[in-house]
Amino acid sequence: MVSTDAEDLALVSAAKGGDKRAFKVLMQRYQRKVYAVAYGFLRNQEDALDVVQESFIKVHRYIGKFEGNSSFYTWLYRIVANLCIDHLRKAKRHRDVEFDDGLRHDNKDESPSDLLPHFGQFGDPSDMLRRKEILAAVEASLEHLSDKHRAVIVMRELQGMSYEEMAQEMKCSKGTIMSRLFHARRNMQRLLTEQLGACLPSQDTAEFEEARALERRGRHPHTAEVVGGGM
Amino acid sequence: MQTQSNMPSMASELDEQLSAYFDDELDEAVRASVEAELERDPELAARLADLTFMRTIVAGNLEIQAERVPRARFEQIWDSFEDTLERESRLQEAAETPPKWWQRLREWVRPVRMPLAAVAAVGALAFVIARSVEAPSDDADAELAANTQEQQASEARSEDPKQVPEAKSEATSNDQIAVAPRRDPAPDSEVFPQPEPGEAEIRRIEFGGQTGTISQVEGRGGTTTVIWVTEDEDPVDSERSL
Repeated sequence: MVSTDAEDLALVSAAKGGDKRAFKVLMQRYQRKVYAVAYGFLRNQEDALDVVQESFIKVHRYIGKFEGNSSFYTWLYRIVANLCIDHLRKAKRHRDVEFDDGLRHDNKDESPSDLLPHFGQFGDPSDMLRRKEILAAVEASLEHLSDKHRAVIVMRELQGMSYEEMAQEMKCSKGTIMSRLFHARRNMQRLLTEQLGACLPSQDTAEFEEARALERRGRHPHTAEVVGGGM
Repeated sequence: MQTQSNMPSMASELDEQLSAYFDDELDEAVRASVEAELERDPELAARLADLTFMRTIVAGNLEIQAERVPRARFEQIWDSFEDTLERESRLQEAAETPPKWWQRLREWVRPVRMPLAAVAAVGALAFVIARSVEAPSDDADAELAANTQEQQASEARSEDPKQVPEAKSEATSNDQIAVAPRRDPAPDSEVFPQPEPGEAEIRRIEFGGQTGTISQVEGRGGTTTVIWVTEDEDPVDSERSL
């Protein structure tokens, strides 16, 4: 059985030789994944579709320079991330706001991780995704993140980019990416907790709140010490 | 107190390391310390499970959003992409087509186009001036100017023969201003004093009781004769008193 990477490389090789059909097969293979990334960044269907088309054009223009040092989808995702960041920068410039908008949900609103309830009680996340209200809750949570935090979450969770690759895309250090991703995840967890809690039936909510209270009281000994010591 | 204030930052640092551990971005030593902490602390292990949950639900949500886009929308994008490629291809072909001979000539001349135009303009101007200098005087005009310019020319000839053509051209160019036709009735010498031959005819000057000077300059280029009249200024009070 031929692996996906090997199939990609065969298609890339054919496309480099001018095989239009091979190029189309290659792009159709990834068009929905490209859309998912772009939609994650931009939160707008038409903008995301524009990025899909722009990525086709860029891949077609530069496929001759793809040397196969990484997998094709890694190379493609970097192109898409680059297009999305450019898109956000342009949009922000129109609104006279920097892309690095760190004002919203970046640090000051964060709850400490040890005060956040765990998701384990919700069950299997793959099962949860079948429910419309859960999808809406995840959408609302992503919507409330800052562009910067959403970008690192999409690049890491969906695209699987390394910190080094993300640092190159965002023109910052690996340390900054590590810190930014940590804060982004904590914000996402807080937002998801609020949104998912609102989705649950009342009985589930009661159980959720009870579990949350139990966690705070019994499962955080060091937190209790800090509070007690402070008094 | 130091322990109390450091506890949250230590927990935060551990959380940050846990996040990087989840992404497999820690070096060997730190990873080992996080793994040891995970074995010791079930709460930390639960937070690691939270990260897995979030990754699954975020990535899963975005993939589902992508699945919801109708296939036809992607077909439209593909058509638009092909149109763009075709347009770019046509532009490239146009750029690569060899230029026509006249386009090549125009490009070849481009660097010297302005200097050539300037030289041509100067040449045309020189030609016009030369024509105006060398052109023979009209007989009638010469006749009209006989009482002034011919006399002047004859004087000039006696001094410098080369100046003759200049003097003739002056006659043609200035006859409307400075030269009166000979066949006009002779002016009253008392009212209109006659100038000396070779000078401009003065039709009428009124100084209104003042005194003044009549001056004349004749150009050598064959084109200019200027006559001007200046009244003497009134004497200042001190002079009057004198």
